Amino acid sequence: MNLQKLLGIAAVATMVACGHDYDHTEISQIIGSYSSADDVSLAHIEVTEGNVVTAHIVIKNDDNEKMPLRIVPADTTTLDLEPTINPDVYAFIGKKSGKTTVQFISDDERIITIHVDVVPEPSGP
Amino acid sequence: MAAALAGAKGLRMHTLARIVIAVAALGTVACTGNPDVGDQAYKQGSLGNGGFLFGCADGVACKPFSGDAKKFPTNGVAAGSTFGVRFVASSDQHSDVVVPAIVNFDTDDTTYNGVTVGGLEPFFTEAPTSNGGILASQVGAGTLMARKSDGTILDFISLRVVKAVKLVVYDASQTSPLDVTTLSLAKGGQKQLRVVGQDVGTNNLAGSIQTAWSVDNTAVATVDHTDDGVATFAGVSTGTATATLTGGGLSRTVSVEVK
Repeated sequence: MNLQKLLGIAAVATMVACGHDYDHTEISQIIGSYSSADDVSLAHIEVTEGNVVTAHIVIKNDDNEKMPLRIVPADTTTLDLEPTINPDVYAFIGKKSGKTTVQFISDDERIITIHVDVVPEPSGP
Repeated sequence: MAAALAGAKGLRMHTLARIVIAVAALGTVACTGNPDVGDQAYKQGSLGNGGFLFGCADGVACKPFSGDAKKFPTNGVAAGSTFGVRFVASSDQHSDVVVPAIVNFDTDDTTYNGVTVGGLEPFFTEAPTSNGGILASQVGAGTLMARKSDGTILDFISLRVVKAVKLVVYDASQTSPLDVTTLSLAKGGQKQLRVVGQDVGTNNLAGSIQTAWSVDNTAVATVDHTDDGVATFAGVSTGTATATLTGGGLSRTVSVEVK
């Protein structure tokens, strides 16, 4: 192996080693169609059955740069996730009452798993 | 000279006719646009990308026979009723020329400019194909969503589905639903009736309630129940009959007198 190849390998290794890691998630602009109780946070997502809650979600690396994000619901019959036309705004749709989870994934690595409750609408008077 | 004058006169008439036609066309086009921003016909979407317009054939929440709601229904829609909704992007919310412009969308329209509005189950489902539009299928507060053809969500609103506790029968030519308990017909004459649902607070509920009419004595009067919510009664011979209406899980009767 010549010196040029060795330098090339070393450069690639350095780039990988210096790659920016996930640092934090920013969630804002939460809007529920049914109730202000419907919410999206890192701890918990709650949405009323037959309704939707949207949130602006970005994940950032340790250099405060935006990272690619993929959100994967575990059970789309309970909670579905769909994109909106607004950049980085995701719609969580309550399909039926129950518990499930969603995973935030970036570069094929799981960032976080969030528990979800799809709750029934309170019965009227 | 005379020919020249006649030609000039003809030219003036031709020009005048053109102007008249142009003005008429302008007037027509000006009426074909969408309501202006802030018009109460819109319920603005939660994401701020546009507004939703409501259409139905009940003749109360909407202009009779046209389907355009002058005001987005605030009392909710009747459970079991059908309706149309279209989404108008913020940039299209003006009454100037709109391309493509529409005059009155059908009561069951849910698509406009490539954007389709649908309701989330269990409160809303797709209406039977015979009616089209959206069916208010369960009492509660549900969500209507506007999507592009690729499924991307443009905006959404909440809309309450309310159980009607009373069916109000009214003259189809009226926009104020004065309840008709007795229908008087001349022999050989016709009258048209519509139906609107009311909630416990006697508020009129939007949406086209699917109704069925029958008359117990068809030798006296007949009823032709059309799909657009209008029932046409015809007096056959002198006498009395009872018309029975069912719809929205309710039923009631109307006395019919033919003189």
